[in-house]
Amino acid sequence: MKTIVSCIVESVIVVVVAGGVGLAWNHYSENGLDLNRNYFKKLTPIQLTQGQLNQGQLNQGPRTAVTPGSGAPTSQPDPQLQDNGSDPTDPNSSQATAGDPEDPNAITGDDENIDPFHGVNTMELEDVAMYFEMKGVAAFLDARSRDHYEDGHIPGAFYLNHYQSQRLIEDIRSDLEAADILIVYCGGGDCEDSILLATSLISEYGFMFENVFVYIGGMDEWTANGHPSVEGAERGE
Amino acid sequence: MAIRQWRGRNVASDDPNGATSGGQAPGLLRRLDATGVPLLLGRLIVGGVFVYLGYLKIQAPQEFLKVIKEFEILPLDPPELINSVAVLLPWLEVFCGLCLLLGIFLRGASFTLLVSLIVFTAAVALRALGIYQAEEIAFCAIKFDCGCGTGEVFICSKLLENTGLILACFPVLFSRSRRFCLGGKRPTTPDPATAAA
Repeated sequence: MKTIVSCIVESVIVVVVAGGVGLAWNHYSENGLDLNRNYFKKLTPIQLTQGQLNQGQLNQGPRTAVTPGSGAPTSQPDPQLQDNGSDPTDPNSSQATAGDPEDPNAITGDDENIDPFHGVNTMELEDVAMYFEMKGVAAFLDARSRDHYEDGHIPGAFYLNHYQSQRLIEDIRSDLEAADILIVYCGGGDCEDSILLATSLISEYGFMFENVFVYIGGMDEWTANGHPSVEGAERGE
Repeated sequence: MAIRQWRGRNVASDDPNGATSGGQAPGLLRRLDATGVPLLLGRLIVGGVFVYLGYLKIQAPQEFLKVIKEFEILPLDPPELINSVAVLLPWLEVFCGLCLLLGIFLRGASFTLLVSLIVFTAAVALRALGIYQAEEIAFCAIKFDCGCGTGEVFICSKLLENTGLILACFPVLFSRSRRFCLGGKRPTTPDPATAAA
């Protein structure tokens, strides 16, 4: 009995001391996590629907967001987004990307299995490359860790690791607000940091839904297709 | 024959191998334990592995948080729970590993690591089973980041490694020896009754 009691007492001591040291380190470390922050937040159905409605209204103007694969922004209003009559609670509704006439319906935040991008606008390689050539129009955001960023990133891309974004965003906010659109990327494939960062940009940092895009293919596709990259901590404009 | 106490019981002390006052030879396991070698090996293996893996996870708490999320064991809301586990668990591993290496709080540290090993191994096995049933690939071909800090690993080898670590915890947890430990020898307390006699 004494042995069991002493074992439990020692376990408690070990857990308490380790916990105290861990919390202290987390508080003072640059890599520390914000314990109160939900790092895996998704856009609410209201945010999704409102954002897509705003996007539809923007389509009436001279400049709109890019339709993936179209290579050019459309200036025609999308009637289905204008009067989509979509039911945001419809579980069968699919993702609506910018100006996409084939998928006008908003999606709900519960449709993870249907939409791996959580309803955020996406962009393909062709359009990303176009915006890369159009200097000053788009701001590229690298959502990966510092090590991955320094191993190689799109020239001119801002380092904005999703898990440290609260600490980093204010330093680059003015640059991001000066850009017409924000293109967020990470490694590609199964990496979801870009999607999570895009969601944070919209829901936490106040950027417009219609101006934020996730580059689906990510850095892996970018470099595999021969596009330029730069190494190091500098943006490399 | 002097009498000393071992774990609250009177034991004859003439025989360095801890023979009983009845003259019976101690079992093989007890003699082996008395050498302190199994305890030392267990401490070095388990303590060393956990200090190393815990250190790797402390360097990248975001990666560990992502792995915990993929296991879908802890709820994402409220975020304090999953974030706290991502921050504190690596430090617990490092601290327990150091305790084992130094030879202090041995039972508490080894018990804590044993519990975490059992829980973690079960979680990895369940996740691998889920993938096996969903994707119909060979179980030993399944590979994913199990949250150890070393990236993606083949699950069969990971389960074998963890089984070995669990077994290595037992000599540390149940050993009566305190050789090679900073915690030192267990204090001897003379029995008042025999001392009076």
